[in-house]
Amino acid sequence: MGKHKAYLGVDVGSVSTNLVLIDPETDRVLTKLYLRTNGDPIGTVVKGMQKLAEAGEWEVVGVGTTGSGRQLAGVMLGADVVKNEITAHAVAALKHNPKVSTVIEIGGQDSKIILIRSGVVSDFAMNTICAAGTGSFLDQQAMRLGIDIRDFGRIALQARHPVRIAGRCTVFAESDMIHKQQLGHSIPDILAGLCEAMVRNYLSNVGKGKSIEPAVLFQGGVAANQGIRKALEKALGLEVEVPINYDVMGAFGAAVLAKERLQATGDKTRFGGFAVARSSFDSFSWECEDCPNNCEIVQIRRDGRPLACWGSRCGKHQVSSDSA
Amino acid sequence: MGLTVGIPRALFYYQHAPFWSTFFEGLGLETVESPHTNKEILDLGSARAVDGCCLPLKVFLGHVLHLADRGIDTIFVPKIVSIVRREYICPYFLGLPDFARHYLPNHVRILDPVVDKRRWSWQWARSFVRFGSDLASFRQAVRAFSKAQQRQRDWEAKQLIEGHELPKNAVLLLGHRYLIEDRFFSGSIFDSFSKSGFHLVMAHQLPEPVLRMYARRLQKRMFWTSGRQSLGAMEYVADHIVGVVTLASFACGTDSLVSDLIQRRARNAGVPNIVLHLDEHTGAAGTITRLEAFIDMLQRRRTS
Repeated sequence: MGKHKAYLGVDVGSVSTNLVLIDPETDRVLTKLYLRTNGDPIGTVVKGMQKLAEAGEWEVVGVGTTGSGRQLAGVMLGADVVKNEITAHAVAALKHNPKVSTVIEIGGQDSKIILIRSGVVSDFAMNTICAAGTGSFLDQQAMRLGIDIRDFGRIALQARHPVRIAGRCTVFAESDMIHKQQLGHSIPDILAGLCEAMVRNYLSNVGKGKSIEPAVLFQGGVAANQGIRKALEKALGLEVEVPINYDVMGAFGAAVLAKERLQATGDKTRFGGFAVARSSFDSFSWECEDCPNNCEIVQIRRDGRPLACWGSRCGKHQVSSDSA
Repeated sequence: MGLTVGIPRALFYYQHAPFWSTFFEGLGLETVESPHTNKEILDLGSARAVDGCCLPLKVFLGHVLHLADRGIDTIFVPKIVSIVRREYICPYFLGLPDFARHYLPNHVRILDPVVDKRRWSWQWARSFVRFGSDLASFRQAVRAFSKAQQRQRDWEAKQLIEGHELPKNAVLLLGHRYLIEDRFFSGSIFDSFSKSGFHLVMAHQLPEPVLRMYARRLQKRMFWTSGRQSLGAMEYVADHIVGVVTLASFACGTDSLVSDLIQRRARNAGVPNIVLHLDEHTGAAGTITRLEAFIDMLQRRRTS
């Protein structure tokens, strides 16, 4: 049996790192990995590559990276495309459903809305200063209540009278939840109330002034939570679809972008091979003292050899594969 | 006389610098400008400024303290109330000299002529001539004023887009001039757009009388000069641009209103727009991600 040809997409986010291999012909997801980043993006990417190598024989014909760690993953793997999360998510959503008009994406630390009209992104917004109502907060509250985050949605769906919780700020939401708990409200009612509060917060913060039209896709890690999906449907009065690969849509989009780019240019991939999984990566950072800006410079090294370097305002020390 | 006047490179420096330096030159005084904003200056300002200050004010304080630290004991901080008749600017500006004094040791002298054109456009001529007469002679002050004013006019005319013709793929960049011209904050915006083949156009590159005329289309009169110019520019070019970027400062009262009006206007005109908020904690990453996504959006629209 020969090797499977595939495009690799990698999304290095704050909470999770996702890797996806897609079929070059059909764009079907061949395999996907959802890993916790646990504050170690380099280690997680290496681990992900090990797991992919174990899962089958692949011939990677192109690589795209996205997410807040896209540059890092990009130089580690030799990416052909390094793209921001918004473009990646929009491309993935369009692949899944060409008629999509609104993409709601809620991840570990950020949430976004992307409006798509006639197949092109027409507007988008990201949460700005506050991370209220993102995955990390749900995680934290589930932990506090001793519930597995995977059961969160199921339990919330059992609610009969969702309580009203102030969702503007997670700190106040938490004290509100504790207050409601002490009054004797049931856990399902509180969880459902929290879902509704998060959705209100999302719609007034991120979705402010945006016209949300069907079809609506809900993606990102939080889309696993049925409670949030139901609260979204209730608030919007629209059906909200959760695509099957909701948790790896960013990585999926990055893979599609890599395919588009390489097909347009006819170039060969810059992918460094699965040897990455056996290399040791480390980073080295220092404060440049050549001017009063004191930029923090980071150098990424593979097996002790410098691979890339970034962080300066003026462009000094900068070494990176410029595959923007 | 040996008097050296320190000029903080902040706030109205970005629109009045030619006048200021020529005026002092005419009085026979030497001037020293603080360097371009850098992290040290920003840190200096934000460490000392009162809570609730906007970012540009903290940067201004950083520049003032930097000058004082260098041993400059005369600093020019005009008290600017109004720069256009029947209009105001942000109320923080009329308190600037006192704001600066509060943080400076007693021996540092602040030079603070008043600019208040609200009732009378020539008020500032009288104000500067009086101010100049205290530092040199009356005759010198009058001459310095007229020369400085001429230099300022020439400089402003040079800023205008040649032939008043908007470039292709123009993106309008709006915001207080002291934000968009301070490359410490706006550098990444200019870099990202020029790399991707878009041309940034700013309100001060468009003729002021035209901006004023178009601002009249607003339902109510906008009495903040900078906001009126931004909205006038938006009205003027709305149908000829491919996008609008608004650079706003966190905790800026006027921006909160003006940036929302810009967004509404952009939405009506069907022009993609984005508002980038700045504060001293701004990680470049968040801004760059938004900018990249915005530019991708413009490019994909263009090719589709």
